[in-house]
Amino acid sequence: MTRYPGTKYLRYGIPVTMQVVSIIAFARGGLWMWGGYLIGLIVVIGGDSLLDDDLSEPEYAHGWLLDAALYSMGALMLVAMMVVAWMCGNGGDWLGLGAFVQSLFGWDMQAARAQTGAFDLLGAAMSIGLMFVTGGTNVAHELTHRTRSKLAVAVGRWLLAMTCDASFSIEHVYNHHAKVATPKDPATARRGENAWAFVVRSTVRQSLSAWRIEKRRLTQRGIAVWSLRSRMPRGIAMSAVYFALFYAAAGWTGVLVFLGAVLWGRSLLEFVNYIEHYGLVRADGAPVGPRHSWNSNKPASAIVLFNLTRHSHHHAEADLPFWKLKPYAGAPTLRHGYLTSIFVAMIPPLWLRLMTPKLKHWDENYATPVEYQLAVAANRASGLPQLMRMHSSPVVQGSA
Amino acid sequence: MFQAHLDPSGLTIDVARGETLLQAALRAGVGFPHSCRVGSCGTCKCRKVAGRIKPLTDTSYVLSTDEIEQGYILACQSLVVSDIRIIVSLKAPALNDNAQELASG
Repeated sequence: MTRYPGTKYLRYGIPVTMQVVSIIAFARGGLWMWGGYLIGLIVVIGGDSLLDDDLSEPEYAHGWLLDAALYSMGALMLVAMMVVAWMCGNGGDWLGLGAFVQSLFGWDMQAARAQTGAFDLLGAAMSIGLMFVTGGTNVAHELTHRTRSKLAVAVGRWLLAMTCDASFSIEHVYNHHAKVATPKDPATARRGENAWAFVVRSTVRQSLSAWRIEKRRLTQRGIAVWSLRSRMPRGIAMSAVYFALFYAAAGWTGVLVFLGAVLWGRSLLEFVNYIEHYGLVRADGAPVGPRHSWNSNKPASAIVLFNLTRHSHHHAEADLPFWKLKPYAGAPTLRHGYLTSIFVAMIPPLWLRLMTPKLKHWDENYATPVEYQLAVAANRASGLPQLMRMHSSPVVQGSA
Repeated sequence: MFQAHLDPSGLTIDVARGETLLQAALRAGVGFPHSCRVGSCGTCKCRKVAGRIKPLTDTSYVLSTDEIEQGYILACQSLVVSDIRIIVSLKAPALNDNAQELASG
């Protein structure tokens, strides 16, 4: 991307534009309902395959412009949901949206909806589910890290509630970042762990962990767990608002489409967690370093996910806003961009073939002596012959 | 610009406006204990005996009520808003500066 000077601000217009294009596609109905999904696949997988790695380190004088792009993503996410909810409906004009669009753009959404069938609504769920990751959880991740700003945390939690995951704001900041790459982190995948099993395990354990953390805080302050000052029930109520919104717009059809999108979007988020720290180890209490994340410098993933891909630096200095993250070319690196890696992880044999050599390389080149011992134990427990064999003969111990 | 006095080492560091105590310490090359930098692990816990800070997170996620009353703070989540005095056991500096180690690849 260093070859394209002058794009350092404009590049973040790309994900915003993708959101807008997706919303227009939803309003067209029919097969266009797949638009949000397909544009994500084409831009991210295509861009990552065709363009060089982005190792640029631009300086930004106007961070607020980047924040404007970030917050726009969230606002457009809500618009996208409302358009899809409307399209799921069976007659009527919920909130007068159809009339509004007709008067503004001359487009007949009623006719578009009449041509929209079950397969198209499946596409809508797939689209919204993917957009929940890019425009929902990813934006929320950045915002809920900014614990100093009540506005950022509130907007972030409303975005997380779209995938019934408001408690991510608690678990992620107050547990994941402290415990990453240790067995105490639900969001770190173990060596040899099947990604689909991880999706379930991580979802359940993160939720339980969030309850535990919030309960401890409330107990200290003498507040009841089931009260309005408790963030857990508030998070559940926020998600209920979205379900009610879909029900109001489109009855049970709307609820079903939304539920599908929630399950798909939440699964995709867990796949992101899976690829970000798969198999990495750290002694509990040791400083978190760049080697405790799988990094990626693939350009399209980086832009669409607001540098979440610069994950090594994010964990090493989690107090930085996304535009200050550096590429860390020397960190452990995924072979593909994020979306491609997710699809590889969905096929466990392919994932193992890709990552087992990378774990071996990590053990020999990145692990500290203490981490090497943890890695040996993890390899033995992995059930993967290639990793277990590593320690049956004398090996040369790597150094950091 | 404020000053933070670190006991028992006797070091004094400058803290810029808008900077956390931990950021200032690391910028000065001081081996201030830390790990997660987001106010969750408690590694940078230290005791404030004088001065004022502005916490950037709800520290009751990490510190007990007793600790908060005794003046304990999290350096990574403390904006310094006056000259302050802190009690903290420092470590050997800069082993953890991964940024420079990895930036060049």
